[in-house]
Amino acid sequence: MRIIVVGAGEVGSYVAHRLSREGNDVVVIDQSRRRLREIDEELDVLTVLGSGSSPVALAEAGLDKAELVAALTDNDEVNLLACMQARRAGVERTVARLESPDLRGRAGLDVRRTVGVGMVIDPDEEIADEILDLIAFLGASDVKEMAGGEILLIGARLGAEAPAVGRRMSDIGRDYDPNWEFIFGTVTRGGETFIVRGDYTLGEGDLVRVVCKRRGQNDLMELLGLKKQRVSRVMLLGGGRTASKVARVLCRKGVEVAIVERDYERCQELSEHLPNALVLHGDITEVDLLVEEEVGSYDSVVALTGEDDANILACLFAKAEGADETIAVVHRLGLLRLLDQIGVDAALSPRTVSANSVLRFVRGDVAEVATFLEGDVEVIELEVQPNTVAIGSSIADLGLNHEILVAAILRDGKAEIARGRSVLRVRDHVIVFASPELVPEVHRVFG
Amino acid sequence: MVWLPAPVDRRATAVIRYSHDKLFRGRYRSAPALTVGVVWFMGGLAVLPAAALDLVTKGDHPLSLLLASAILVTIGLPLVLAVRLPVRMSTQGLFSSLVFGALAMMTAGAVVHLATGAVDSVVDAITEGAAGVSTTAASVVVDPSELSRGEQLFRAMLQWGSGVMSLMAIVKVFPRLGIGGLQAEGGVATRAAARLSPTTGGNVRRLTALYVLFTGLIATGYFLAGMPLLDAILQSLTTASTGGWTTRAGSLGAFDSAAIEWVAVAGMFVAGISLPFGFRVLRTGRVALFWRSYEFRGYVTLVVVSWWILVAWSGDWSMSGIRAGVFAATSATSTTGMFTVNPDHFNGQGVSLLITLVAVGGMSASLTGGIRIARVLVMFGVMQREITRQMHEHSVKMVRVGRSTVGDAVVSRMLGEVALNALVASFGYLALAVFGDDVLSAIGAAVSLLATAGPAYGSPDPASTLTALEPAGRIVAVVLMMLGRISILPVLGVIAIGTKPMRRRVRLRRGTLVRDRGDR
Amino acid sequence: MTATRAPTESLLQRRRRYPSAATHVTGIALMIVAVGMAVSAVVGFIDSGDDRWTDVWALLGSAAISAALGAAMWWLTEVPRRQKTSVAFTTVTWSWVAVSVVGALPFLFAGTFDWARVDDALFESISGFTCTGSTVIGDLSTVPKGVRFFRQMSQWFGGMGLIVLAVAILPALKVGGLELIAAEAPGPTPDRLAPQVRETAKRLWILYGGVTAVIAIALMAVGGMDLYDGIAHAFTTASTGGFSPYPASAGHFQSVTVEIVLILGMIYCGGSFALHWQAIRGDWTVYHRVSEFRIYIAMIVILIPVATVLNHDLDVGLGRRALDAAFNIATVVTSTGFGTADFTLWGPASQVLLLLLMIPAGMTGSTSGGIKILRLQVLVKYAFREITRARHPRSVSALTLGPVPVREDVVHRTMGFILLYLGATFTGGAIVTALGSDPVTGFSSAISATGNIGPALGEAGPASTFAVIPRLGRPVLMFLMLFGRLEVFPTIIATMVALRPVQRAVGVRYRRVAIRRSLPE
Repeated sequence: MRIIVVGAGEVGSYVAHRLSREGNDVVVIDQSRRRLREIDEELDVLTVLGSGSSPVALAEAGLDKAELVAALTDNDEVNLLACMQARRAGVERTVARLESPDLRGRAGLDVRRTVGVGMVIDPDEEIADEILDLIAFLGASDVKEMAGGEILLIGARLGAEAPAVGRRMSDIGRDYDPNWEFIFGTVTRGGETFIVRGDYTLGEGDLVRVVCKRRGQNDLMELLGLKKQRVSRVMLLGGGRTASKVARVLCRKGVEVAIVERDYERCQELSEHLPNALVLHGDITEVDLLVEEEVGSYDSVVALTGEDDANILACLFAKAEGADETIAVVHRLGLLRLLDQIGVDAALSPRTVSANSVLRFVRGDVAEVATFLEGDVEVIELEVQPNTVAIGSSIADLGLNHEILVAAILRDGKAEIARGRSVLRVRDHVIVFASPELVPEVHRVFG
Repeated sequence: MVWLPAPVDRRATAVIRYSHDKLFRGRYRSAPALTVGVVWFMGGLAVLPAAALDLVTKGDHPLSLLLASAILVTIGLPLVLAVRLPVRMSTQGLFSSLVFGALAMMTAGAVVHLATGAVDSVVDAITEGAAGVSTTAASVVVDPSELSRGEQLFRAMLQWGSGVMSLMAIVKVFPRLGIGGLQAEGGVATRAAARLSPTTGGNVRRLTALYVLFTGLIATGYFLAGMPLLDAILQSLTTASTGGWTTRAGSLGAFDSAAIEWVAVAGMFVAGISLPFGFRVLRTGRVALFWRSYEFRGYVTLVVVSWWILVAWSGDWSMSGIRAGVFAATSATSTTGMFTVNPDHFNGQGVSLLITLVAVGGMSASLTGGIRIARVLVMFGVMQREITRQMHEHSVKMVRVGRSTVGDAVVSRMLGEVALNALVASFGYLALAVFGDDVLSAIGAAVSLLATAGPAYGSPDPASTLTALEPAGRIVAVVLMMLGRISILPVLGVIAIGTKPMRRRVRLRRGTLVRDRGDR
Repeated sequence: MTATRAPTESLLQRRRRYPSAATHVTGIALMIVAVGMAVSAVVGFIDSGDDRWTDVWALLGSAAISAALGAAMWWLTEVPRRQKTSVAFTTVTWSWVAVSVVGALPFLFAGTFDWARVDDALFESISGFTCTGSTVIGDLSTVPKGVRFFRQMSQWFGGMGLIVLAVAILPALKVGGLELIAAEAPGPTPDRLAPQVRETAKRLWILYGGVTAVIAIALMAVGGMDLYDGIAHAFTTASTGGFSPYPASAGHFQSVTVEIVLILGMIYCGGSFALHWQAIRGDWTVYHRVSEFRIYIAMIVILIPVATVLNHDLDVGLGRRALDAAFNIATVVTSTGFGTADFTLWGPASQVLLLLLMIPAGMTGSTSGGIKILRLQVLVKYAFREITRARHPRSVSALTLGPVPVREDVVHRTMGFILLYLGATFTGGAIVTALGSDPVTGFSSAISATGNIGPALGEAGPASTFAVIPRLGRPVLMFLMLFGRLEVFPTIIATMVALRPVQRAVGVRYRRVAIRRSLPE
């Protein structure tokens, strides 16, 4: 499949990276020669220099042969123009990154239809959702809703006091038999991620990813040693668009929100839009300010400026002052390995978060895709198609690769944790753990 | 939505520049002179129907009224003919036009009162003129029913005309000041006073139409409630303008009719609502807009709660007791100043509530006086913000009224204006206390005059606000009423322009002093 | 912290101390008050007649309770190393409240109020420690002499506390005043918050004590008072409190010289102590340089003849009239509240004048109450700047006091201060009126309470007591006295901090459950 990615920024290049790894022909268009060179060195993609709105550049990228165009620059107008030209050239599927709420919302419906935008993504919005999920689960490193909210995918690093530490998988499974409410998917230990099997014993410091039914989340959180407590005060360090989205939702729920922002005029804007939030003017690494405002007394501290080092430093300081949970937004994936060693509870990156949406769209028939910052594994939700080998067969009989795990089955809106004896039917949704290389295999089996 | 500070709006200039050039083609260019000319000329014409009415009803003064009309037209016409608007209307020009226009209206009122012999002295005539222009219900005339019908009509028209002047000020002058006029992008704290039409002329026309319609409705109401037709018309003119003059001694209570009083309550209540806001609701037909306006909600809450409190305090839950309480509270909040019962009906608490209501007044961009609800809300916002700032050294917070935020420039303007009013009121208390005989009635009268209500709250005879004063005290009252109506910033602005040379001299002297100090 | 502690440290230092600045400081304040009570007990022992022992035991009992409480609070807590600004506000508020509660004990023990009127005892005590000078005691002569002396002393302690407040707390408010004065008067100024706080407070305390001594000596030498009266009146003059051990207040002495000494004393103490300190150090021009002082003096000098003229129809001679005018204007402007002539019998204009003067009261950096002249200056300049701005919409002008520009955020805070001050006063007045006072009494007593003046107009005039205020209205006035004394913000912030747990508990809760996404359509 030929895919054109317009914009080689943070989001664009990551999407290109993921797509090319799955064996697609990816063409990246960008105006910056430097960025294109970097991509050239790193990825197996074709690069074209030029603006995404330019017909010449698009033609050079092979617009007529493309099956999908993802316009991911940070400029709404360029994205719209790219999508329009793609649609004119007969490209069926288009993705546009739109930041303006007017264009994204109901008011922009007409424009989007005329231009022919197939799917809209907004990294800020997505990351805001992700942050809200993380805030809701204290101590979790990833939280993702799947199957329309029936299933939760929770990632967490096991602390020393977690009851699960030192127990074998099969023992845990026996404890909860016959009605499993959750299933362990992968474990990341020592930088390596693998699907857990019954003989594995959980250890301290393991990063586990668990699929659980909404009903079973309490048991699971207890097992993982996650605290379940109410969030009543959240401090957001950095007052960008993401922060204001997060703050708006939290304020509506009655959470006390404080926002620290460096730019005075932006502060005023924030105070205008968020009547109930406390807006503070200052730098997030200014220790005096954080002390004065008692950063340690907050339940969650989220650092989401554009500067990785400031975010991390501020989180560290907040943790040292006694904040329950710290979440950092990081842009450079290389820093990730450091974070959990030094005590930042969760980290997320705009690129992976929005890449998930694009990947979901690219695969078309897949309902949800989750990828993670750490660990080379995907969680896919997809529908079992007619005329595939899976129909009528129990999971154990499918003879799947050991690196593929069927975690849950969603039938008629009801979710069940998959067992070896579960039999699949047409139109079932399955939730599957798999490494990216095995995604085609998953598709072969389930459709 | 952000409310930008008003001074940003420069469109008003351009609009004013063109709209009148077709009409006025005089040689000299001066906005204040033209305003004065127009006011006098129109005032003169307005006396004519009064004279005609006197002829028809066989009143005493048709000839005197004609004479007054002639005088006013004679002075006004040459100005109208000789003067045209300047090419570019400066802010100072607007101030002076407003101030001198109001003064011209005041003198026109004085001339007519002198001509018919309704008052005996010049000071009284000016006082009466000022009370008319400022839509204050106080009067030097003890018994208005002794005046001829023509005089009564002129007096009612004077107050009604002042309402039109206020409309013009709301549309044309106040936006420049940022003190609660019709704004391109707000400037008052609430959306109640956003502009209706892109041109100022369009805004004036729309609001005037609404004003006329409103007056007509009240007149109909009064008539249906059993008032004689002529009285109904006269009374509707002063009710719609929140003026409050009546045709009988004892104010509206003299009619002794519950129906009439309820009509008046309704009229006064509506008069306290922002005009552009009312227009928008009528035009769109969306009554829900009412509830969306924070200021309106504040207004209704204030009025209804004070109804209840006032009646509860008077302890009289009979129908007439409720009516008395409701009437007094509404009349005070809308700064109309009509009354039905002697203030003895209310105890000290009730009186202090009434004084407070008068001081607060109605919504912004309405014809009432007082501080206005929006500004009170802004003051609450400022308090809240300063507490937050005190607790969180680095916090940034916008002053907020309901869902809208108010810019710092507008906040400063409002606070400054309220502070100036408070200073003037303090001098008012002092001055009226010199001529009065107790503390409470001095304060009540000063607040009432500055807010252009009229009755001396706290004194045994509410109609005696002006009559109880010595001539010197009446001059103080004139100053308070005019300041209250024109609003204080334009007046002080004009005074500042007038005294510039003097102040420059003083400053020069001080400057040398400073330099001396530096040398030492 | 324990890890770094050297083993040689004594056992005493190793005990567990709870970090609470408010409790620690309150403990110290209580112990100081206990000393005052003990001293008063000695005075009572020497001076009281028949009721000597009630007097002494009442005071010693209170002193014991106060000292025990204070010592316990001080002993068990320590001042944490790092603290928020709001902690300072909470600290002053609670220490004032605690001291006032303890200060009510002698009145109860001595039988001035029976236990059913515990609120009145508290009113008297708050009125003392806030240097207000309003009283609810109808006949002071029934109160034992020692307790009366303690009552005088409570105001003097209040004044001492105020100096700490002015030096250590108010600069953090940015509207306190010392920093503004300092800006206007260049040179070595006592405005630095840290590390000179201790030093500055010490200097001002010395000055305060010196002034008290000078007034006492003058009252004895010139006015012919005895030692007890001299010291008692010096206490309340220096603190601009205005209590007197006699029912007729300063009028008790029927002496022109006493009145003149008191007038001069009050005017001196209504001026900024920081200025006085500089003047004593030899820089006399400071009085001329600082505009607030010029206005302060001008106000007094101009208004005395005005009030004299306004009182022309009173049936007293010109000299007496002028002296009464001077005394009452001085007593109101400095927020002292001594009484000689009953100004509620004056004409309405003079009464309105006094009422208006109660609002600004004295200078910043003094022991007087009210909004303070400096803030009024800021208000007036702020208002007049708007005239310029209205005429020249694009003009930019900084507000200046003397030669020094005032920062815009300080201006805004000052405006917030004034609004809150007036708003609270108005609300308090409205409540008192609604409870049944007549409007003039109700509102003027609220103005008087917030301004820490003492007497009010109407029924609560200098010849009367605040017992005329409805019983439920008096707690409102007590709050206003504290509110005004602590310069508005500390009380509000302390209340908010105290209410925070409640607010959190009541507020809408957000549970840790997954948030349902609202997917874009």
